[in-house]
Amino acid sequence: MITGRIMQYIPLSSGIRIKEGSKVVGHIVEVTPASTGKTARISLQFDKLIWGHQTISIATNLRAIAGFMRINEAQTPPIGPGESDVYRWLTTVQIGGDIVYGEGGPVTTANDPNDVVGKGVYGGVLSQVRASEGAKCRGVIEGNEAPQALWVFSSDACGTYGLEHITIVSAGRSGVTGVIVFSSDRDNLKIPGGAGMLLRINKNRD
Amino acid sequence: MGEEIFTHVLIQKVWMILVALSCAHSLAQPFYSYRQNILDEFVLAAGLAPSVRSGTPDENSAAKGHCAIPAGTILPIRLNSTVSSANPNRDK
Repeated sequence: MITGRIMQYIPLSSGIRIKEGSKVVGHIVEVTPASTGKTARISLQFDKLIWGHQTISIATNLRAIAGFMRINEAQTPPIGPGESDVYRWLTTVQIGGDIVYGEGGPVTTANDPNDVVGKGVYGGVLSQVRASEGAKCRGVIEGNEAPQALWVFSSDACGTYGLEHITIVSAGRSGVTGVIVFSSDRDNLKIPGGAGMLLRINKNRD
Repeated sequence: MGEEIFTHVLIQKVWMILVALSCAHSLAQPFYSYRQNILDEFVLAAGLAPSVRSGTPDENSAAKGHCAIPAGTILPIRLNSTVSSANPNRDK
């Protein structure tokens, strides 16, 4: 069993929220150890969301994954606080380059400070998801245009960050089962605890 | 003649039974509604009713079953443990 913690509250279109600290549960589908001419692979699937007092079946695909160090970097303001500064109002840089002008402030793209894509909130950001140029990640899907809880990730974050030896072979977008496949050029494929992920709901299974 | 008296008595008895049932029903109605009121008050006082549940709106709505997550919603998560191809069952 694999478990992950929801890192930021998630507003839903119905006006209700998935609380920070809710749990996502998955399992390993298949492991292929590295052998001659073959890379190590892990297939896994996140299929349950434990929210409040109930468990919801979900199918997810992977949009982005980042290592522990990249998450720490994104949470640390590049310019340290001055004497009268409030820490949570300081500017930070998201994984992927978006700039967050503190909690309650706007979130802009890395290239254009006038291109506001979201706003900083407690524990993360609420941003409009954008398609990633040159990558396979999509923008808005299924007409879900609501700002999404992206935590420390940019609105166009896509793929792996800070996990150089890991490649996403399949993001789990094909089919409704959401099997995510990773491979590595090393003998031991290791996704360290503390790694952050942006999972996207494929389809409700019930 | 005897048959007529028998029929008359029978009808009288059936009528009386119906009247008695009707009276019993009308008497029981306020009692049941009173009991329901007491139950409602108890549920409210104990904090069990959805309208006064102490949880946040998300929990209340989830408990009521209004919990469908729209496709395209993003879940930002952090892995609680390491996943490794060398020892994939370590976190079981």
